[in-house]
Amino acid sequence: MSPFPRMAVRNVARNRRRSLITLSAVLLGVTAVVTTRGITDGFMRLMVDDVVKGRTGALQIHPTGYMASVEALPLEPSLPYDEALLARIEAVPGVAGVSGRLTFSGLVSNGVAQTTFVGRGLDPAREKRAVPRFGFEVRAGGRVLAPGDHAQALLGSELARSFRAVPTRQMTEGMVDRVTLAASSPKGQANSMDVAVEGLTESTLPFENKRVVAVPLKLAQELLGMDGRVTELVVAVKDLGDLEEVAAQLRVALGPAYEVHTWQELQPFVRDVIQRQRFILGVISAILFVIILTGIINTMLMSVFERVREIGTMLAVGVKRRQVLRLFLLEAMVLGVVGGVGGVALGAAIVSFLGAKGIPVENLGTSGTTFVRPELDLLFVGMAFAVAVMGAVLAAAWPAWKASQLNPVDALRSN
Amino acid sequence: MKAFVLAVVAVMAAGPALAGEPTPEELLKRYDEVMGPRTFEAESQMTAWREDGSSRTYELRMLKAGEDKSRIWFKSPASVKGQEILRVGDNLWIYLPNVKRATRMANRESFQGGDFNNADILRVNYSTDYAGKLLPSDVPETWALELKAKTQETAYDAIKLWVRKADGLPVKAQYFGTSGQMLRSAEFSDYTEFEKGYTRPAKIVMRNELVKSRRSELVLKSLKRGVEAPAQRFTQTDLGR
Repeated sequence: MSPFPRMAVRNVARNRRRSLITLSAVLLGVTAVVTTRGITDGFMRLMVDDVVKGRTGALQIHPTGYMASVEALPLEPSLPYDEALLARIEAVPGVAGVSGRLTFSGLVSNGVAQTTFVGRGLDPAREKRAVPRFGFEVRAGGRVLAPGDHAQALLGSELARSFRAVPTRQMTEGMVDRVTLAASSPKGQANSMDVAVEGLTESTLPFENKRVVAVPLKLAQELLGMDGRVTELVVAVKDLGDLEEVAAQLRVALGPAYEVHTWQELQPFVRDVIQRQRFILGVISAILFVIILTGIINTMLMSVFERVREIGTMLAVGVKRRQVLRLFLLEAMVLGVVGGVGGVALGAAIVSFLGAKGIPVENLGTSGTTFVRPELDLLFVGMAFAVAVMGAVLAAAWPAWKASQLNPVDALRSN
Repeated sequence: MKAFVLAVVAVMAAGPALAGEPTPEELLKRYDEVMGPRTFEAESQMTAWREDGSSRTYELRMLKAGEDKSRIWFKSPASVKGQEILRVGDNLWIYLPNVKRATRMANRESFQGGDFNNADILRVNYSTDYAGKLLPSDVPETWALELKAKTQETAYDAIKLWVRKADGLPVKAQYFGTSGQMLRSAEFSDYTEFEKGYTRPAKIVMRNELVKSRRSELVLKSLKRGVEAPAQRFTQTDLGR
């Protein structure tokens, strides 16, 4: 067995101070990258959960032509909400559940004031299959829509506040627990219905808090004169990683009369926020990587200059230039591995600690607080480790090559 | 015997006339004639009261031709001066002078943020849109009518209408959604003879029954029937001219 690995380890251990500097550079760099990533992942998880598992679902199906004018919240074209269509969708592999919704616009009033709202007619019996966290954003004191509900509604928290509306159980003087929803049928016939406020919803998306009223699907259909119709179908997938694949299969299964969109397409705001975070994370990682590399190059150069006589001796006793090169690279690798392991361990410890404790953050545009729970992405941790080791080796390449090219005679003579 | 039968038939035939009770169809036809003459030009003023107590007054000119063509010019305040609305059949356009373009709008949208529905002003055609039924009236000297939409394309599912026994002119109306909830109510007053032999209410107060503090008032200053209204005035290209 080659003596070089052992020599490399010993060399690293011998130059304790120098090695410690390099080690701490690698260790701190890896720790920082792993921790930053953990926090970013936690934050993204929060947004994706909010959006995918709590609101839009992973995929949505609309009749072709709907999305082109989605801003106007058209009621037509609409979809039939029947078992046959649902069964066809559920038969597609990777689909975990599907539910229908009727999205509409109208005027909500409390008898004193009125404002426009975006109504979301939900099927309480099925909604949970399509968005598993259905109802997660309902504030304490309220309740989520349940099967059997009819003239009940959930109001966005900001909308409710401006209307002085609260759930019945929290009624106090000067507040209301009922509102009137007015909307028109696709043909323009006006209609209105009174609903009881059952809960207030609190979302990370400001729009949801200010404009959205959720009602049972049946009530929406009645209000709009659209019995048995929905404007969208929300689909949950078994694994978000297969999103595009499931979407493609759904497109094939449903044909050209339907459009299938992923949550990224439906919530470009969230997608953009996530992309921006990924970019910032990339920049931070790159900076840390440069710091790690500089540390290693510095140490290795120092060690080459300090050990010129030693190198000369090795070359003089017949150690080959290639072997000198390998020795220096091995030393760098030892530093990289030890620093990387330490960094990963420290980073993982910090992330797990924060993950268990949760970081309180202010909601965007609302007064509520949510907890970001940092999480470890094992693949990324592995990558950070590999990059640290490879970076260390690469950084050592030039000093190591320089060392191997020394002239033994000159090297022995130098001080 | 024969004479008796004849007498009975005569009495039966004359029955309604004797009781002085017109058919709902007749009353609706009368309403349409009075409130929605086929072709007319009018100057009017509309005031909208908001829930915060503020109000806004618009001056406008209306031109209506036939069953399905109408046009409105806004004259004041300055913020809407130059705006126009064109309706041809079910299509509705609003013209904004600052962008010099006509945008389509839905029939169901409110009329300039007020509580009149566009359909309340520009599309009065109760005898075609609704099936009427006479009800006992709770207002003296009036007939009470219940109107039920014949199709789903009307602005309201049902309307309750009170008209004067003397001349068939409207006194008040209530407008209902499919749920049976009252959405708006109207009161008609200031009966004015705009042309010889043509009297109609000059003032309509439309209340938003969902938000009681909101109401709009339409006052007609002048109205001329049977004016010249060439078809070219009801084209998109004519907007802004």
